[in-house]
Amino acid sequence: MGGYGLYVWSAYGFATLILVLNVIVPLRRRTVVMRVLRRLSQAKESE
Amino acid sequence: MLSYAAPKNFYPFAGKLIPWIGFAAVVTLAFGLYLGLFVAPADYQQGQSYRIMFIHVPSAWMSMFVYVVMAAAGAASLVWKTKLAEVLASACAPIGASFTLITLVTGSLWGKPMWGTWWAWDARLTSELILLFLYIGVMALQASIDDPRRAARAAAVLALVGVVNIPVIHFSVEWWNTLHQPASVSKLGMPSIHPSMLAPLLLMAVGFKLYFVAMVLVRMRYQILERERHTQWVAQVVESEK
Amino acid sequence: MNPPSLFTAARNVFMRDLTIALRRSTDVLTPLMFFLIVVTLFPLGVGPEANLLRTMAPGVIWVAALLATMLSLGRLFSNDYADGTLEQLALAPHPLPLLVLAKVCAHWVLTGLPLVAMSPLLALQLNLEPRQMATLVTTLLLGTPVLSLLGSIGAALTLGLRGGGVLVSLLVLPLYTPILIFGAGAVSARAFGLDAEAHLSLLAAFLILGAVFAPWAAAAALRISLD
Repeated sequence: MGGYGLYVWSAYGFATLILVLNVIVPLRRRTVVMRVLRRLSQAKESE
Repeated sequence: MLSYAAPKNFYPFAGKLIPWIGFAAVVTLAFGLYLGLFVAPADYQQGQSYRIMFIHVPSAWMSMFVYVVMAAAGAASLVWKTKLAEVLASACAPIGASFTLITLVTGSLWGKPMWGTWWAWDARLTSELILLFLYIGVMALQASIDDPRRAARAAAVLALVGVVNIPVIHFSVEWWNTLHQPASVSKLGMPSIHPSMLAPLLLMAVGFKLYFVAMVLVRMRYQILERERHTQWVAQVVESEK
Repeated sequence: MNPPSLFTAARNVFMRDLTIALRRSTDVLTPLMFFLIVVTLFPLGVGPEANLLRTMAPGVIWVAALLATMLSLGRLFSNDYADGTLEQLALAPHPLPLLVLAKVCAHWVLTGLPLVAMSPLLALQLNLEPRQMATLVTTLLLGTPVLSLLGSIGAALTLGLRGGGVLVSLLVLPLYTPILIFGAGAVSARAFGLDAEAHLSLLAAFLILGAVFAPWAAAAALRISLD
């Protein structure tokens, strides 16, 4: 990269990191929400 | 068409869309990266460092685009009180903030070889930083209100005030910058655009848009589930997705 | 009994806020002392060199004014919120934005105006040139009402929230940037003998726009917070 490699790759690396984090965080949040909702419905059934 | 605005119908519909849009985003971004990193020639002035432009510029576009989407959704939620618009607005904020952060960091990484400094008070970078603060404000306000409806409406008002202010802020920072412009700093300009550079730039922009749509839908889906948790259809969804 | 006219209602709100604040005068004095102390800390931090202080003075005084205004925003609605007056105002037959404007005017008289009055003293402290003095006072006179107006939106949005005080700074300070740029810019321009008319017209334009639009936004925010 003509001496600029470090800058170019860290820029791309940082962007990738943030974009990937933005995929992981909502998906994990989704599993948490599902777990809570499942517990909620189980609690209702056992009533 | 309108029936998709009901959370009950929107949820499965978005669920079907997400894989397709996500796939399209990955393909577009991969193709854009390939063209940008391996096919486009080096710029005769900036050498290889200009390749940072292929993420910096599209994410700068996105950072503003997402704010406008958020404010428009906020306005819609205040006027028509639709739940979907509220959820859309609150799903936009973290994604927009991420694009703003990417813009700032890549701008800094581009500035170091070009300007010789990590941070210059360049007009565009400075307004981008203030935009980040505006996003953080919206997110902090949402986070500190427990009732989701009130949080969404308060954030909508703030986003609208922000969207009115952004042009003013941008103009004043621009004006401030021309006064204090240090002579040695040249702008992070787009190099004279050659078609082989334009193609990856536009591909990256389209890819980011697709990515944004997919991620907004993912966020909207779980927020809808959370909000509608006491309804029958959510119970069915939970049952079927075991 | 007929409800009082629009003007009387606004004046009553305004006078009420003034009376209450003057009975609790520490509320008025605290932001003012804060303003004084922040400006005094700067020379201690950067050194007493007169030329340096003179170049920094417009920015320092303006930033201190922003912070002092922000500090006082909590007072704008929170007491009325706690004792239920605010709900009465929202139920009044008069348009809420107008009553909010009256409250903002009272807030400015209690915080903005004292800041303006005190600024020449601080300008002397920081070796500001005499010809900059009038510009400083004029910019503060035009700018501090806009700070109160924009601040009212933030105060209304954070009403009754935990950590509202810190939150309001996060919401409001980014919106203050144009005022800071043109306010401090005008005073700096005068240092070079330049004309500051363009800055002042822009600040006046911000004031007019703020007076027209901010009360609407603040009233909408209040209704959301009161829901």
